[in-house]
Amino acid sequence: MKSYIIKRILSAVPLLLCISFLCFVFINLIPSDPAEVALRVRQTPIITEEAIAEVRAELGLDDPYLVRYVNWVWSCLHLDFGVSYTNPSRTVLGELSRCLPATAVLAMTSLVFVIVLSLPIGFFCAVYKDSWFDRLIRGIVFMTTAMPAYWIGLLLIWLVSIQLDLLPTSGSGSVKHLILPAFTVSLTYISTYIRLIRNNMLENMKEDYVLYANVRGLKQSNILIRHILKNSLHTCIVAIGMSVPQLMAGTIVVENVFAWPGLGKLCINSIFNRDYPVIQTYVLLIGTLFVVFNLLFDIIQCIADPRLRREVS
Amino acid sequence: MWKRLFQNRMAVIMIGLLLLIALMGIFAPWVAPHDPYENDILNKFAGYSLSYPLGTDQLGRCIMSRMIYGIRPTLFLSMMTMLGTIGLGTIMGLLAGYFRGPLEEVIMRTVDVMMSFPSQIMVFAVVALLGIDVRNVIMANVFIKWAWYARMIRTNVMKYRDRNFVLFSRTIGSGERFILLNHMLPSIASEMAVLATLDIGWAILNISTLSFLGLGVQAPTPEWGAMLNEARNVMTTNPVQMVAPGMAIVVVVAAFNMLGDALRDALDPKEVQI
Amino acid sequence: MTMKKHMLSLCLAGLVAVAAAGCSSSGSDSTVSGKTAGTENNGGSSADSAASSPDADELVFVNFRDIRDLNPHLYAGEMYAQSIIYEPLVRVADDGVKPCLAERWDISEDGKVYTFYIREGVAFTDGEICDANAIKANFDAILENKNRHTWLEMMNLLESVEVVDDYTFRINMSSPYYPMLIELGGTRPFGMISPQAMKDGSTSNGVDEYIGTGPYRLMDFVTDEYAVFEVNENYWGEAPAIKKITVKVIPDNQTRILALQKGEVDLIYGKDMLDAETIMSFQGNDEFKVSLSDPISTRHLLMNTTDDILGDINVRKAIQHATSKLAVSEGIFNGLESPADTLYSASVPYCNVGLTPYEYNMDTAAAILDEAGWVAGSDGIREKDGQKLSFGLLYCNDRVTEKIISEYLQNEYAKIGIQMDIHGEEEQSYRDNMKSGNFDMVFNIAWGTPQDPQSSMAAMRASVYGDYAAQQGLEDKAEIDQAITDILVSTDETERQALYEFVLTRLHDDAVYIPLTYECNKALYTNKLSGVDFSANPYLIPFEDMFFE
Repeated sequence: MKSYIIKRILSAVPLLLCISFLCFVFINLIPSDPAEVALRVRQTPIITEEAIAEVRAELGLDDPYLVRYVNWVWSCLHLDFGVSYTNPSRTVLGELSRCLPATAVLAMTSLVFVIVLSLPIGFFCAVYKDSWFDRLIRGIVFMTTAMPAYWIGLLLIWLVSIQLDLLPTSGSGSVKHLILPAFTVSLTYISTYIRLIRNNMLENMKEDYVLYANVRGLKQSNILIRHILKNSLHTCIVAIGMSVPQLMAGTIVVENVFAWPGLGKLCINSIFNRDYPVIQTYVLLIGTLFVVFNLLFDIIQCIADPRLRREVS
Repeated sequence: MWKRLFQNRMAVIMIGLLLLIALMGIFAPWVAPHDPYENDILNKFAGYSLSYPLGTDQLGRCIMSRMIYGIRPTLFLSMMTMLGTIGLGTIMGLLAGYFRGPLEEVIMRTVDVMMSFPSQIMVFAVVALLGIDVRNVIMANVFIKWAWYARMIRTNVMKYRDRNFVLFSRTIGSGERFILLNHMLPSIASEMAVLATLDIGWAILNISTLSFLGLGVQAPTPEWGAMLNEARNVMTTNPVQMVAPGMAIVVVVAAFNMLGDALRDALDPKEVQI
Repeated sequence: MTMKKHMLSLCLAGLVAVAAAGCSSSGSDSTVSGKTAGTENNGGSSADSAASSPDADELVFVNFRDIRDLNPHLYAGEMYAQSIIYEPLVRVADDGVKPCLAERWDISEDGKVYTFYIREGVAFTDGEICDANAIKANFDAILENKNRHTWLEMMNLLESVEVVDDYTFRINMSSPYYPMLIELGGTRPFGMISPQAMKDGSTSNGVDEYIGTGPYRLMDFVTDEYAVFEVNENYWGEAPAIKKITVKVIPDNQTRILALQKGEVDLIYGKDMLDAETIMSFQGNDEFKVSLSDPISTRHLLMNTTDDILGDINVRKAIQHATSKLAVSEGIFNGLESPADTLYSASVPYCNVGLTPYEYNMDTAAAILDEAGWVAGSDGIREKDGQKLSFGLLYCNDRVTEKIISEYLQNEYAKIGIQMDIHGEEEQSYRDNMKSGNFDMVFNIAWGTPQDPQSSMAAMRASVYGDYAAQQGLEDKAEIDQAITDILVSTDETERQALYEFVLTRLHDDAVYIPLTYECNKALYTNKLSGVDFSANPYLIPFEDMFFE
């Protein structure tokens, strides 16, 4: 099994290289000349040809492609991602690290919401299969998958914040600010996980050991919780874990609607302001996060599930 | 398969509903009560009336007409996206699954790389790079999503490629292209149809999200996501403007999803979900 | 099997712990990436307490963006913040120039020597005495960076500055300049910063700390979230009633209004921060008050004459006739801003020159285009020599009414076959593009009283706002520039008036500007607040006058 882990880690490296290369290509395809932008950013009053040539040499823009790529990767490894085009006094790293905690908090809270809400609801849907509760939930779940997240957010703002005046409308700074955005993000995932848990439990209910347990005379609740739920949870938890980077990336729209000061809002603002270094680093960051998380959970899954372990060795 | 589909009442209703919406979009100039671009600034935020069934927006334009004209970009663009994604995905999946070998390796590694990016981010990044324009949105979507479909198609193709009828066909000397077009494609057609309907729903949500953020369809083109963006700017003064476009999106996407589910049920009775 | 369970629960516990840590840290996060004097690390908790426990001395204000870099000798920060921290030699009020750091001044007979008598007993918040030496250090730093300030004509005329004695400061000019004192009254770049806060006597690369002599000091800030100002205990002037100002950053218009409604902020202030609908809806509400100023400047559009299509004067004149200022005033501003027919209203000094407005008449507009050879193509858009009559309009996303005006005009112009694409950018990129001439048509920034008309016109000769770049395509640009320079150095009133008439008439006939409405400053605030008035400069906010009842 150790060899599997090592192999898996090694296979992630070329993937990371590919991602970084794509990001590098991206920044070099932008329409504006980086030298001119750098001059404008430094607020040079008059931009002349000589000034541009000077800056080109300074930034090493005339070096061959591969050399620039290697230099760029090297500076990335030193966490030097450059300076924001729109706000030259801020570094890209500074901007990202300022916004990252907010997004992480939002993503984690949404995760908590997803787990806390989907587990019991999915459980009861499976237990009371085809009852009015089950049908109602499935109907609601179906509708929520068809609703755009931002619309849900807007309606929640209007209903909860304006009409009922229960929670603040936007911004961050306290737990109360966190509830609506986290709930909106989690809604899109809850439907998937309710269905997942429900189906897993229903499948497990048909297994032989349930029949045997019933024959043995165990209490229904005992069977349900200690056997069926436990086995269904297994795949669900791994699936939920894998969706953490998805959550981090998926908060973009909700952050925009609720003015949550996280990475998503930074990304959208950068796109409008054509702040290419920030966009590029953001994509690199998320891509890397994805690869690392997938790797991590593949390994955890392998360790945790004895069936997979056998398969692999 | 089609007979089973048409026996499913839900599917028939959905197909009818979607056809009706599509027709309304196509015949918009005749169906809509007003010109969707016509602004009457002094008549803004009017309430419901016979002449303005859903009232007017912040520029005095008829909301009902904008909704009906909005069907065009919404459906048309998502259709284009879906065709592009599924088309490219199918071709890649077919090639990878059928020919195997080094071609498959290359394609599947590319698929792995594409799939390791979160799709939302990549769409934003591509739009940021190419500029804010609807065609770029479609290209970005196709560029990102084809990988997922390629993988699904490849799995399906691999299921069928070693079947007897394919081997027989090859023995009697049919060319590879013939087999691909006349054997493989029809076999996976049903799966493709299911994926297509589910994809349109996803594409509609995606395009409307981008328009809502201001990265997709530009003013003054009426599109439901863009209309929600405008409604958001007047949320405190005219909250009712938020309702109609949102409901429309929900109805259409739900209809496509239901259709997709019904198709899946019709395809394989053994796999009907409990 | 128990190992596996432990593994999984451990991972989950880890995730939840991260979440908990994230939650608590964001609540009291106060990463001060800038420098402040005497930082009190209250951070997030102080910002919250300001909003939740309404203290009679604390005001919660809201701005659409961060305070950014508050160095007063450069232009990269928010003016309202700079003007409560720093003070210049003189201040400009409605009724003229008033003493500030200079108690009184003498102007020589020939108008070339200005002698200022500095107020005694004024100190910067770091203890440094503000005397003529400190003033000179500031001027040295400002003059070191002269290139950035050439939009102020006085910079081109300034010969030297000198310290006569500890409290007497002299400026020598090469020629008389009548708007000199008004220009000296600008916080940017003439706000006085403590010499100790400069970097080696220079400010062109930034400053170490934001230390001024003003009624408030910056205590704390978190980028893009909030900034806290507290009253300067040792202020030389009258102590303001408001002891603490917290400025929250909320970029979205609706969110600001909601925050005001729920009491999270006390005041929304600015000429582009509120739309007419909102004001109307609050006018009947007892819990809030609305204040509107007199008209201060002209909201106008600027056409780039170097563009192929807009360079044709017939196109420009047609667009003038196709723009209904009345509809914009009534329909978009609900009459709060009156329609404008000339670039400067007739009440602005020297500007009552009897120009004939371009009458709103779609037929006239269409006729002008037809005669000039622009004929409608198959898609309804006019063409000439294979080129479509199409161009773009740039507006600022952060200004709440510009998008709607753009959409309205887009539709109006389409009626006579003109295709206009609209594009919005946030404040910084919008300004960058405007300054570099990267636009076809743009919402130009107006100076307003008291800078109108002399400083605005002076600025037309340099790339300050969009005027310089846009006027490049005019044949008489050089003539106009020369006339403006003559105005600034003239000493004869009649000559000055004649020159103004010349410039204004030329600009009007060239149809470069499309005036829309006369803008006024607006404030919406909780009824517990009083003393909300408007200063001569629309970008400044007189916090010193406000008080809670």
